[in-house]
Amino acid sequence: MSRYDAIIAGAGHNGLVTAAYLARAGLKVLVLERRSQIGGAAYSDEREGGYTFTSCSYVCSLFRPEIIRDLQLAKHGLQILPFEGAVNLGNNGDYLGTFSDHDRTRREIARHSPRDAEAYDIFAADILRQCRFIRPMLLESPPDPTIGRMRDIPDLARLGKRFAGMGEDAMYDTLRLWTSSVAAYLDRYFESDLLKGGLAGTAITGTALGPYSPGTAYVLLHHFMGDVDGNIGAWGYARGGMGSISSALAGAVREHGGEIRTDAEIVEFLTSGDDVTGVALASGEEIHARSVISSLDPKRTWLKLMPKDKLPQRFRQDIERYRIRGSSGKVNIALDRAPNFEAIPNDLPELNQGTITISPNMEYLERAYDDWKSGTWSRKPWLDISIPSLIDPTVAPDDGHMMTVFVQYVPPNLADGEWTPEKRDAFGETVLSNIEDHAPGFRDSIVDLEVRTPHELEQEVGLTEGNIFHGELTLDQLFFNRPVPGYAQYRGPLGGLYMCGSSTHPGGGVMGAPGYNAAQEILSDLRKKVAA
Amino acid sequence: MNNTKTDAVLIGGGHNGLVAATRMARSGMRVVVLEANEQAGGAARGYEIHPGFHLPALAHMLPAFDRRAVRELKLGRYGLKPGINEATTVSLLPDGGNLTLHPDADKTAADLRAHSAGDAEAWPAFQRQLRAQADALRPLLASEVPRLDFSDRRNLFALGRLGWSIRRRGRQQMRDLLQVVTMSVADLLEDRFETDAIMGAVALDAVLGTDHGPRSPHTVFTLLHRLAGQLAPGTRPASATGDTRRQPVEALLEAARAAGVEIRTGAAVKSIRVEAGATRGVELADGSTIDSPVVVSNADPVTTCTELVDADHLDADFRREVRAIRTKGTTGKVGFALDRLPDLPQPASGGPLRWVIAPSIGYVERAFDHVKYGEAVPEPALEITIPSLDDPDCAPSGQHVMSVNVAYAPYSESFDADEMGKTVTAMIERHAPGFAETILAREAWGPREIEARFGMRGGHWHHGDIALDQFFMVRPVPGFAQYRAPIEGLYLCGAGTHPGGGVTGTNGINAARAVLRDRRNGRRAA
Repeated sequence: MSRYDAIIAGAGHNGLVTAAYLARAGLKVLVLERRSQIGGAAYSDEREGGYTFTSCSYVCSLFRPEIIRDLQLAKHGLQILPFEGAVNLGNNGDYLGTFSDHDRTRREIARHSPRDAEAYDIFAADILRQCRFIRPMLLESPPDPTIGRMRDIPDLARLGKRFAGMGEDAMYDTLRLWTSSVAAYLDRYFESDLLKGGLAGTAITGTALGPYSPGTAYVLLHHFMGDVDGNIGAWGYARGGMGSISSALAGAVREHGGEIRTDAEIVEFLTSGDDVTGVALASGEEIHARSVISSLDPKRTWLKLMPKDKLPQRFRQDIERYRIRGSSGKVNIALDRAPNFEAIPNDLPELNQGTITISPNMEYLERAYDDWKSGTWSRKPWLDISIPSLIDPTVAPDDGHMMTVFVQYVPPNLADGEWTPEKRDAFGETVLSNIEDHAPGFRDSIVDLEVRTPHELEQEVGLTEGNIFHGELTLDQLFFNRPVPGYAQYRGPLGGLYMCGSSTHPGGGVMGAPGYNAAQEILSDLRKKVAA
Repeated sequence: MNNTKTDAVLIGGGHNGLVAATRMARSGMRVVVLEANEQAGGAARGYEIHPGFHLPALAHMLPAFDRRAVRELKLGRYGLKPGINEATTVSLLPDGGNLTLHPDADKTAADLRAHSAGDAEAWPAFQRQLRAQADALRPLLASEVPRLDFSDRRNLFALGRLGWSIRRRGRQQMRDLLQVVTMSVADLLEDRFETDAIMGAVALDAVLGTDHGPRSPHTVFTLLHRLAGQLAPGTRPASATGDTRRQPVEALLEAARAAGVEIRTGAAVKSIRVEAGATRGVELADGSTIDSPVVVSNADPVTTCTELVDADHLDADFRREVRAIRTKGTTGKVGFALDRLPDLPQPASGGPLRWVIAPSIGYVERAFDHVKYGEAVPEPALEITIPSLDDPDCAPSGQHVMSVNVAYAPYSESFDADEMGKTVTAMIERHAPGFAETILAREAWGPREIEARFGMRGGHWHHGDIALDQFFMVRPVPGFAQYRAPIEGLYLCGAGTHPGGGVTGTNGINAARAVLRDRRNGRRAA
């Protein structure tokens, strides 16, 4: 029963980020992970035959470059391979490619609509301006305008100044970006269905909303505000699958003296009065620490692991109402040859290397959303297909390829009951036949298949309701409202317990920002304690 | 009369136009109102559906009129009654039963106990919370809108004042409001209740007249917007299907004439004359012209800026913004002249009654799922009133008129409004057997019919959807929420401006103030 400075519950990427920063600052840190492997939804699953499935998370852009530098993750094996192109497939054999080169993208858009090509320049500039406004907020605790705490006032003033500095037109654009539906927002700029369908798809991933729903427009920012090696808006694959991010982070934790234990399930947080003092494991072992940091979603943290009587009533009600909604599905496939997407021209191989989406127009997405609302998986779902092995040789044998498919919309429970293995297989069948429509012969090349519905994502990975973000990314659950009003700065109502997962600002996606921000708050609290 | 000169021309004699005209006239301006139809009053006026049977055209439940308009135009003197009673809502259920939502929340709670003890417990607090939040929003709705131009300090102060008006109600209140305002009404309700019927009825209130479904985010905002328009501060929520229903327009017409406003009907405007970036007046469809340094348009912003003003006079960015305003109407209207009172439950209430068919959130959402693709709705949600119950003059003795709002009806070429009329008839028949035989006349309008009849773009009652991204500082167009168009002397005063629609006259009063302020500051000398 040794005493630690900090115990981190959960070895997902945010937990590992927090652990690494705390260890680097000299704290004695222990990470406890329920499963046998670390990484949460960012892990690489080694399969038979030399295939590695990037099991849940599959592409990288949003991971904060500051964290990569601070923790020297390249030294620990992290390498992101940017992709040169991506493509959206329509219904009629048509395609719309995007390239890392803006001008190439523009010419490709012009092929569909010259008017849209002109508008794309303006759109890109407008979005970039909004990204620049947002980016500094990612690695900062959100100031709370409702509390009037001393610490928040300079932060709010600074934010207000930056906002005003954008100029009047841009400020209105910001207001509209944050309140519009992605459909209304894109309709202002574009006419091409494939272009709008492609962009709108990125705005509904992990949500319980359709493209016509107000509040989906700003999610476009997520697609554009990341970077790879300083290239803003670029996306890439982590070499070896997204698990390499987690293992690089684990390397950083250990380098600074932190410990990571797997197969160590926490069943309760230990308390003394109004303070959390440690954890109790399933094995019966109790471990004490000055601080406990949970990277789990707030329902698991507060409703499952915290003794019932410790929570203020209003806080408990808010946590119960916190929405972890917007479930997804995943299909991972080992192939014995590269698929042939017929619509993609042979002389543009780079379009196969990034994400291949099937999103012909916005109505297609909205109807898929309607299916989800009625309690069934979409028969014509939004598919985001990647074949990382085309540029990463480590995830498949020489004569094979690894394909990973993200599916929206898939309900956590079905109208006619729970998920069963039969229904899971039927869902997998829907996905495969939709892909086959665009890549005939693909099904014959399948050598290994893994289908994951929200049920598997919840049971196995710990993603409640199969939501990839630990909670819906809508304004009522963002910024100073995330996870709940009054507790958006990584602390809960009890002393000694912090939150650092995707259910804190700035939300989900493999960003590492919540973990970083939580670490800063913890270190700041410790400095105050020392100074006192 | 080929050419007249005046101080201000009002395009459109809807209620906002009449308010603005009268306000300006009372400050000494000569004002001419030009109404294209044979009768002024716009969508707030009544029409004769059958000889001797009168129905309100669109709005069949009225909120309290803007107090500033009542005071400054002395509308009480012309018959506008201030006090109005809150309506009782009867929610008609598929099994033939019903659930009554009384103005008194405790009474509703007592009825709810039969459905769910938890819901009965939660209802009064929920109502109090909603009203408090609507109260908090009201200053925002009533005020003029600042710009995000901080070089003018007044904008900063105005924003600060508005923020403070919310904050001063308490930290928890502000926190709650900032959290719920962007939620969907479905989530708000499902967090608190389990009885489908009560949730469906409240959900309908949040979305009726808008292009949203109950699961759309921001429908708590649209609900509060509706509630705030209906409340005078500190008094009980009220809506009128009583004898004040036709009163606002009649009172306004009298007040206007008494103030010296000249109202010309059958006088459609063809174009707004612009020279050197400023208005010169208007040209009418009949070829005559009116010279005026001020033109105020009650027409919707899209019609005003794309049809009445030549494209050359507006810059491309502004035109693009105007064309992007979402004006697609989603509400249908069915009116009936009836031989006798339908057999609908009539709880003793002392106030006006309305019936709704909205048995659950899912029901309303499924209806929305059709209209969002432009499809007809096989099972729409309905809001029903019988105006003749409160105003016997609407129909001959013993006979009645009925007005039905339909959520939803699409704005599409293929939509058959008569089919909607049949659907609505069948739905009411199921709840009131014998209803169909009592019908003496029926009129059904979809958004296209409403557009043609009232000249409102898209047939949208608010001249532009009520949505957070078309509200406040960006309504109708970002940077032009202050009732001024980018052409000097041209103003907008209709529902397409802040704070949206609803028969309150707020838009008209605010627009008039902008005109008068500009005159005082010498922006447009007569």
